[in-house]
Amino acid sequence: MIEFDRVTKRFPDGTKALKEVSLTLPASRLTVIIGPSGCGKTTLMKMINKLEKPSSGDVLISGRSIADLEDVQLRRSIGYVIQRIGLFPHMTILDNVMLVPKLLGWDKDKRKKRALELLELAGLDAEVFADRYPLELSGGQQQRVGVIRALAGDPKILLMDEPFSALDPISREQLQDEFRKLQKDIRKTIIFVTHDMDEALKIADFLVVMREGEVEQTGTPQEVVAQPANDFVREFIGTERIERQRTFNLQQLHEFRFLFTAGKAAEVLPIAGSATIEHAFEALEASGSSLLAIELEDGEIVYAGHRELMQAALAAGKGERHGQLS
Amino acid sequence: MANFLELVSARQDMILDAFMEHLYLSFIAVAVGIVISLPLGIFVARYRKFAEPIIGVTAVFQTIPSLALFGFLVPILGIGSTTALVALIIYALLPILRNTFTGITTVDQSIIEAGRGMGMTRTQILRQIELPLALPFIMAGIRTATVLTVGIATLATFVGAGGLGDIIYRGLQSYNNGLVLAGALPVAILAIGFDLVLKWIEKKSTPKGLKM
Repeated sequence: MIEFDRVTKRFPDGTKALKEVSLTLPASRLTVIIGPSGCGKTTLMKMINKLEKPSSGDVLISGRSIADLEDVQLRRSIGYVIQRIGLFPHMTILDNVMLVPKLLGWDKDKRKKRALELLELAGLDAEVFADRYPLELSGGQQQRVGVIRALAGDPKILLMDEPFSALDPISREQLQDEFRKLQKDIRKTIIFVTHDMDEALKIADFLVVMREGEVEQTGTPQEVVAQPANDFVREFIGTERIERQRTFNLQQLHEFRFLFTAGKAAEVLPIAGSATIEHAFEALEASGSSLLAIELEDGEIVYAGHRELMQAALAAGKGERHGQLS
Repeated sequence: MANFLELVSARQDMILDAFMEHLYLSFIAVAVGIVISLPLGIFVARYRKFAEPIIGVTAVFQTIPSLALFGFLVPILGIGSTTALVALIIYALLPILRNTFTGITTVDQSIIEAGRGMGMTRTQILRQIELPLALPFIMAGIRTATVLTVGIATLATFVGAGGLGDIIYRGLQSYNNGLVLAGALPVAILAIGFDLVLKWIEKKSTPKGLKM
């Protein structure tokens, strides 16, 4: 858990990047900080690994103030991925990935083993890529390396500063999907900064909307889209997305069976396939369970949580139907 | 031509001695130049506010006509190879200093930030990122300084420090064009030779990942 306690950041020229921000970010979740350029989102994120230091206020990780921690040690325990490639061009992919373990003093065999594991995790064939240099890789491949490099020291926290924004749309979507899947396995506390609302809604567990150094709204993507706190948030999400949600809310769950899983993992709440998405959201909220068991027309039971419902909502807006996909 | 070869073989020893002196002066001047400028360049790249005054001072040195600089130093240091070396070192400073500074400061800031964010110390960033990436620049500076120094070292003769300038000067005084050539040619060969070797090193020092 990461807490910001009345954090203010004043730059030497007098501009205030952050104004008394108090905020708690959940552990083991993917938090997306979103806002227009210059809203202080990157500054807020950099407070966590002390690349920026508060002018006043305090940042706490698991209840401990990071002001007392040594900068370099703290940073080695936190993964960091930046927007511009950020790989070291004069080091091979393997050396890039092994860098943090090396800084942490792991022995050579251990760090090599770890790096090879991670390359595999990122879908990069170690035989092909280990000895290559970053500039020999495509943008998407480079950023995959960027992500696994940040994971190499097995940090609990991962900071990502618009990691996919410099990529072409196809690689970006692909990396978002892979990354979402990865997070399901690794369960890190991830702070992800972006200005792209589609990206935020797609990957976030928890959303922080910022403007001019202040937090405008926090909550799950569903909450924020369903109930924007003010005009700014409404406008920033885009009336189109909100409209999309209104119309999709009236569509029946049957139509989205392609999104729902066939197995269940947690306490479930049964619901009929003819219920609307809006109804399903409400039922899920009210029950406290994490999964819905949806009975489809043909009697098959499929399962869905908040995320899948959200995806169904977004899919509805894009005009996808199960007829096309299932 | 035949005359010239005769002249060279007759004064072989003298030319060789002068060549060695010249080599010695140039080599020591560049070596000391590197020892001073490289750390200084690293220093001013880190503390940018010192960059302008320090590079400025070396640039001013560079504008002093070389003959005049030798002249200025004589009353202070007397005549001899020390004076010549000091003058040559002063000339070697700027190219190395400026290129070290430029090389380090032009390293992509996002790469430095990535290093910082990953928990590298300043020294680790300098040694593992900044210096390797700046090396081609630094080598280019050393190359410029070397060629410059080899040329200017011909003036060492005026402060009694020897070198190939001795032979050129003697040739000029005795209206012996052959002798001037016998001094000038080795200077050119030395300059071109150094240049080629350093060019090769410069190429070799470019990190492999950057040669795409």
